[in-house]
Amino acid sequence: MTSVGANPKTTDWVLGPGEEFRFEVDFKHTIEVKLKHGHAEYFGAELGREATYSFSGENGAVFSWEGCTLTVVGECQSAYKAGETPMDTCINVHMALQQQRTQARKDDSDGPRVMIVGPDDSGKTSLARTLVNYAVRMGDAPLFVDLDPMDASVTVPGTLSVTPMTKAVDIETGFMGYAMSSSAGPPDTPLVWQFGHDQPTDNAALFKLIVDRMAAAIKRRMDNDPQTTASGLIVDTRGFTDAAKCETIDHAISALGITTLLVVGSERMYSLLSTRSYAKDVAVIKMARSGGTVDRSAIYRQQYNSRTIQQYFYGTPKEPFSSFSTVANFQEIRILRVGEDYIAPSSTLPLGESRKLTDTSVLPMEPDESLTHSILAVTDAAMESDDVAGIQALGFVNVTVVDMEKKRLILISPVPGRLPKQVLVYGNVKWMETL
Amino acid sequence: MEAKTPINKTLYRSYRGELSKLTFNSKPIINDLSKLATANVNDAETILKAIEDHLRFSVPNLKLPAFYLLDSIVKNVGGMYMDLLYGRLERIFVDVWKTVDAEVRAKMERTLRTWRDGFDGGPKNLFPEFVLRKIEEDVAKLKARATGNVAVAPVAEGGVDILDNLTSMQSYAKKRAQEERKQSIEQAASARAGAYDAANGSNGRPLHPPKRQRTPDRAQGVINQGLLQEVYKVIKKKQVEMLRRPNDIVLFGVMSKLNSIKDYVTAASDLPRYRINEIRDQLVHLESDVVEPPVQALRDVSLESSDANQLLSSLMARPDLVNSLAKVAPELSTSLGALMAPAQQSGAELGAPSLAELIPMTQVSIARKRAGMHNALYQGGYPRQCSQCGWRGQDSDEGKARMNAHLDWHFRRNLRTQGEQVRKAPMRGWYVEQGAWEAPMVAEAEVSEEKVNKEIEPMEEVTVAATDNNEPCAVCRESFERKFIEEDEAWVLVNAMRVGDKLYHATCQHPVG
Repeated sequence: MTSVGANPKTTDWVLGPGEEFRFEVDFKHTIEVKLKHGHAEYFGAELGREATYSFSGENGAVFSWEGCTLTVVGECQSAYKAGETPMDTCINVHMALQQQRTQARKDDSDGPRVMIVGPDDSGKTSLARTLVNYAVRMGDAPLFVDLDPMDASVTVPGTLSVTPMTKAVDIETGFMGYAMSSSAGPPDTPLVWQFGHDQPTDNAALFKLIVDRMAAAIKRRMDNDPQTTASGLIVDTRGFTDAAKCETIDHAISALGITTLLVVGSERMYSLLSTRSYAKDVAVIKMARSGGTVDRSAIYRQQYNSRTIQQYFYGTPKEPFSSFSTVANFQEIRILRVGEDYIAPSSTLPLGESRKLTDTSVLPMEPDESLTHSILAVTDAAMESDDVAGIQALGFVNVTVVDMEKKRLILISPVPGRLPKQVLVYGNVKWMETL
Repeated sequence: MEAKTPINKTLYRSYRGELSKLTFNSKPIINDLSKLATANVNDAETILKAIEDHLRFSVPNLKLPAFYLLDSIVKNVGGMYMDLLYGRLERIFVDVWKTVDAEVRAKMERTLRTWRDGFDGGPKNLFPEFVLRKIEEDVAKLKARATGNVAVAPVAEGGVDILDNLTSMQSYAKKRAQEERKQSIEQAASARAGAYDAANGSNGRPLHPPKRQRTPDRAQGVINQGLLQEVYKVIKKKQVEMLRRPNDIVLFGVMSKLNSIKDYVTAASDLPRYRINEIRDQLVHLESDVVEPPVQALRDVSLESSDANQLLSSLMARPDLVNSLAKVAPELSTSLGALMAPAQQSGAELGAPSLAELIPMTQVSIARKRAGMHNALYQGGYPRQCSQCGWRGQDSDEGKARMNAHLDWHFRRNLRTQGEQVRKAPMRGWYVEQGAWEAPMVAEAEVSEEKVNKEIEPMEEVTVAATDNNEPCAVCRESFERKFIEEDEAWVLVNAMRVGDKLYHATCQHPVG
């Protein structure tokens, strides 16, 4: 090329068989990746020959089984080629799962239900994404269960969800973009619950309640949908290392009927979990952490989650969504929170008394200015009902203004007009639209 | 193998009979014929062939009613008919247009516009934009030519009506008919091959299609040129197939699709990239559309099994046959060879999800490296690939159907996101309710898809029965627009909603205060 100057940097990366190109791009920059020769995949989804993929605010890896050449345009914070990947074990796991699916289909029995656990930033979601994509590529349709409320993949943070996966996860927009491209085939909208905390242990009782409700919903879905039954579950979880926090995991393993537990990047956790009583029924497999995983800073997480919420309301540049401003009067809505953050300390209670509140108790909130910027879940609960703890969220609204004078909320909503249901659940997540 | 019967002769004859009743623009008759078309959607090819032939062989004043029938099928039946019409619409339209008078022409053009813009709130963009645009261009060209000369006189048409053919064919004994066909194939083979080569320019590389040879478009981009060559490659391949199975109506449809693509590429000077990709995918698709091997040539290979690999193996085991095939159809034998190559390399079972080796879910088994296993996810298992996104499909009828659906999705999505007018983004909507999520149904899928695709329009559909007093919106105090709905024979207020005893504009979005 003769002209230099303003042209962004263009680099060709030649990958050998089994190598991957890893990159980190911050939120201010965008890179474009194009496949020049050969075949390559991005967390299990194959790159198209003619497509150009752009990434911003992303740590990613393009892997090639047989080698390829990539053209990368733009500035990365870091970009390098790596030869050591856990892909050989990953495809073994997939093939083993796939054989179980084939068998299940033959026997008319339940397919594999795999859960991925491991410390923070060990690549759990990337592994889940790869396994989902491999299953989908072979014509299966597993349910993707997201038990990581802090970094929710499918919808806004602070939630738990289960999504039928019938197509590959979009290379550029990930799980978040999944629901957007749902115009091919049946709708793959997730079933979502408002949890409202980062860590499952922040309200273990509520977490378990939701997981139980989720398990029941999955069972009914599978009764109606034999394809999903044979394809099974792929469950992503919140990172943990502390043995004490295993309690919610133990519960989820039994509630969801997990058959394979993949422990990523922690020998200690592996040995701990393989001595659990369920280990005789569950295949506990340890997997190496990918060298490509990056410790995400709090700021990065914040930016990432903020973008996730942005994408919930406005989609992505390639597939934008419209959102709408709407008004809700105080007297026609109920805002509730589940569990109580501000319980009086035990020391203030009379001797011998313990807290009466359970963590799944529902408390009404009087709207005030502190609600500004909150993300509220619109639940499918009836107006009078207090049973909202395990009720699905139909979607989310963002409070832009709390008008105390006129006693009303101005909301951003994914649907125009009145809210379909009037029970809103508070979830500790705040977001402000930035232009 | 695809067991698509090319043409259902009985149905063809009876439908042609029904068509003969269509002597004027009678809505009831057109409705009946559309219903018949719906009922025989499995024989869509036959129905279309009957309509096409009726259009071709009936006198000009009977053509408009038949054309309206086609329009009715397009708008009310759709489905398989759209797939089949896609490639031949241009030819049908232009052939009819040429033979009718100015008044009918104008009516046809109006109908054409409704296929894009929708009619009375009906669905829009019934056909891909390039198909419609091509027809408009053809019509414009014909008109331009007409202003040069005196007038575009309706052209008398020729050809042989298949109905006559059918009748006469019955009188032949089956065996004899086959013998005759075989002979005519051989004659046609040499004749057509010669004609084609002559049309292909001196360097042997096809530059321009025969018809357009005198007007080479020098502004054509390099990409178009490359694409055109790809089109020619496929056309040539299909021509060879066609020589072997001249009566294969499916192949005929493929050929006409290819021809319209060729014309489109030749005429277009600057194709956007995504459109090129669409065309390319379409090509790959059409290329493999007819998977049946040339049955006549293979008749003397004894085949016990219908398995494709075995079929190929037994074919490849007969070098004499392959050689003779190579003489008549070089592309075909090369592609057979190419088909064989991966099958031999990768072993028989690799494509299937059930691998030959059982992989237990144990630490030892998972840690073992198994070379080449990824191939089951790539070429080995799913040789058809969409170039736009990397999605892969199996090399089977089902894989083909899925790839078709997939390409359709790309098309609709491109239309939505890269359409010529910038449309307002769709809305995400609420998530489906748990009950519906737990019991997914196809019907629901369609509804939701509609919801996703639906553009956000002013809420004109929100109406309330009109009241006698001219009560204004409780929020903005402006009065409502009134509209008469013919179906309900009632007046309604547009963009209105009733909450309690008060009326509001739906767009005012203020709930009860």
